[in-house]
Amino acid sequence: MDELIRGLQAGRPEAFERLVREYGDRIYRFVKRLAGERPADDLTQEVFIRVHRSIESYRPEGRFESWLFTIANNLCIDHARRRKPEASLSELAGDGGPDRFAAVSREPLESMEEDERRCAILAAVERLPFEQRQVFLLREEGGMSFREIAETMGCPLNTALGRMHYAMEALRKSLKAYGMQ
Amino acid sequence: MECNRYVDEKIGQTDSAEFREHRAACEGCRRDLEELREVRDLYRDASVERYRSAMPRLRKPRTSWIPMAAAAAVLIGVFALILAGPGSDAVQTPSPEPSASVFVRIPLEPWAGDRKMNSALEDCWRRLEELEEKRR
Repeated sequence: MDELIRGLQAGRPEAFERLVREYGDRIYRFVKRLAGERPADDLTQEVFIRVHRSIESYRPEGRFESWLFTIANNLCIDHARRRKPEASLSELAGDGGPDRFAAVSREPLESMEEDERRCAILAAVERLPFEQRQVFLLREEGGMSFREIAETMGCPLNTALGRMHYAMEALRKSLKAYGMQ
Repeated sequence: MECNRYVDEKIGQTDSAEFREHRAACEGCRRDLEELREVRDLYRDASVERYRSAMPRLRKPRTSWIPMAAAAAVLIGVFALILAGPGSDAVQTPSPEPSASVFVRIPLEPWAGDRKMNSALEDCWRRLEELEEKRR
């Protein structure tokens, strides 16, 4: 990791290639679920451009991944606010519903039922309130600790834990409603 | 969830010995934990999209030393003219018409957007014009 950061700070193209290769998928999935499918490509690119611009000022006090996903999270919030300037964070939502999962490209699935289960969980994640979705995605895609999530979101640790709890409960209920469990 | 005191364990924040002991006896908590793990595993299994866009075009911020150096050279030249004074050969004009200006404004397109630079150059021109006025 230190080598990657040093390479990024030195502006070496191969370091940026490695960054995109190692984190591109996770960042893309994070922004896609938080901001929606349409802006996901542009926002993912923007994350890497921001990293490029600000890597010189990066100080390794926290984990690099945490810094990276904080950038992605902030860009998603900015994007959502541009779409709904008056909305509070809890009112913000993604740009589509479960229907767009029909277009998701995946590896061949073992069965239709398995496909339905996967679509159902992704759709359920997208229906979560924005702040619960943020915590869930920072945890699952960003691999962040709840303490890091609380810092990124500027909320107390217990609030972050509570949001994750509600998110998990909502997902569990959604899947039950689909008759999946 | 039936036993709310074990929220942290159920969402994977901690895995306390107390909870491990509790869940051995609590059917509800065991089921909760299994279901939540299933939700998490299902999400990880489903979230497989790949980022397929090209590598972003990244460019180092341009260092602007060339236009700045050129601007500095122009400024030095202008000040050299000022220092030469109205009586020196540098500013004396062979023109028979005293009203004609001895200075020619050089177009400064490369720095047109630089307000600070433009302001400094304007100041130089003002001073040159004052010197020219005095000479007349």
